[in-house]
Amino acid sequence: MASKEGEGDDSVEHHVSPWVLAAFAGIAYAVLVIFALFSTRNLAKRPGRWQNFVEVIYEFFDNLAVSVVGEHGRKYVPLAGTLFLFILTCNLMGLIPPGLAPTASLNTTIALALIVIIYVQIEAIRARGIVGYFKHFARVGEVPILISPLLFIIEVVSELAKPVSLSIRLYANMFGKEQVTLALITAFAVPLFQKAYLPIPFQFPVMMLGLLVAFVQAFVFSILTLIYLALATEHHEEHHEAHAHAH
Amino acid sequence: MEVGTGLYLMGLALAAGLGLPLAVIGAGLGQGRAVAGAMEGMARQPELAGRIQTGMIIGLAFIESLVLFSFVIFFLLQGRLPTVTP
Repeated sequence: MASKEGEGDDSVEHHVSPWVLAAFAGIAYAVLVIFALFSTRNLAKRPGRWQNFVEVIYEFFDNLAVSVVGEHGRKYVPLAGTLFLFILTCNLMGLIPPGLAPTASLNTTIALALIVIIYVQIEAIRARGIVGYFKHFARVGEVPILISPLLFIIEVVSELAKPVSLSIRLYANMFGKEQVTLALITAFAVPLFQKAYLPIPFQFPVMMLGLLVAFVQAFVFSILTLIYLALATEHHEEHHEAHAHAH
Repeated sequence: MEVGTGLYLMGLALAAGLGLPLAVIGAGLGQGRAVAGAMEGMARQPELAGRIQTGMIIGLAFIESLVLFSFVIFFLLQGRLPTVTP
C-alpha cells in the first residue's frame, strides 16, 4: 500500500470521483429495474420460476412489516423492500472485480439515511398531528411535567443521532471490509522483481465474510427503517402497552 | 524532535493502535452474551426461533456498529500519523 504522506484513506472509493459511484448506483438501479420487469413479465396464477422468487421476497417483507409495525405496516413494505434490494445490490457489486460498492462511500449512505429519517418524520406528523408530534417528543402526559423539557432535548438529540448511526453503520461495514481485503492483498503479496508482486488469495475468506455482511447490513438497514416507522406511528393506546413492555 | 511532539505522536500511535482492539474486546464479550442468550432461547422454544434470530441480528448489528465507529476514528487518527522513511 503506497502511503501518500500519511494519507490513511486508501480505499478505491476515495480515489474515484463521486460521479463514478453514482454511475455504479445507477447500474444497481438498472439491474433491479430489469430484474423486476423481467420477473413480472407474464404474471400467472401458477407462478413460474422468477415470479415465485420475487413473491418469496415480497412475502418475506410483508410478514416482517406486519410483525414489526403491525397491521398498518403493509404500506411500508415497498420502502423497506426497495432499500433492502438496492443496498444488497450495491454491496454485492463491490465483490465483483470491476465493480465498486456505492455503499462504501458516505455520500450514498447519508443520502439513504436522510430519505428514511425524513420519511419517518413525515409519517410521525401524519399519524399524530403536528401538536402530537411535538408532544410525543416531550412525553407529555406520561412523565411529570417538570421532566418534559429535559426529555424533549434528549428525544431531539436521539432523533438526530438516528441518521448518523444508520449511515455510518452501513458505510463503516462496507468500507471496513474493503480495507481488510486491501490490507490482506498487499500484506501477503510476494515480491517477484523490483515492482511486480505475486498475489496470494488470502483475501478470499474476508470476501466470503463480506458476502455475509452484504446481506446482514442490507437487512439491518431495512428492518431499522421499519422499527423507526413503528416507533413513529404507533397508536396511543398501543403506546402505553409497548412502553410497559420495554421496561 | 521536541519532547512534547514525541509524547503527542506516542499518544497518537497508542490511541490508533489500541483503540480498536479495546473496542473489539468489549464488543466480542457483548456479542458472545447476546448469542448465548439467543441460542438458549431458541433451544427452549424452537417455535420462536425465527423471531429470536431477527432480534439477535439487530442486537448484534447495534453492538457491531460501536466497533465500526471506533474503526472510523482509527482511520481518522491513522491519517494524522507521520510516515517514517528509514
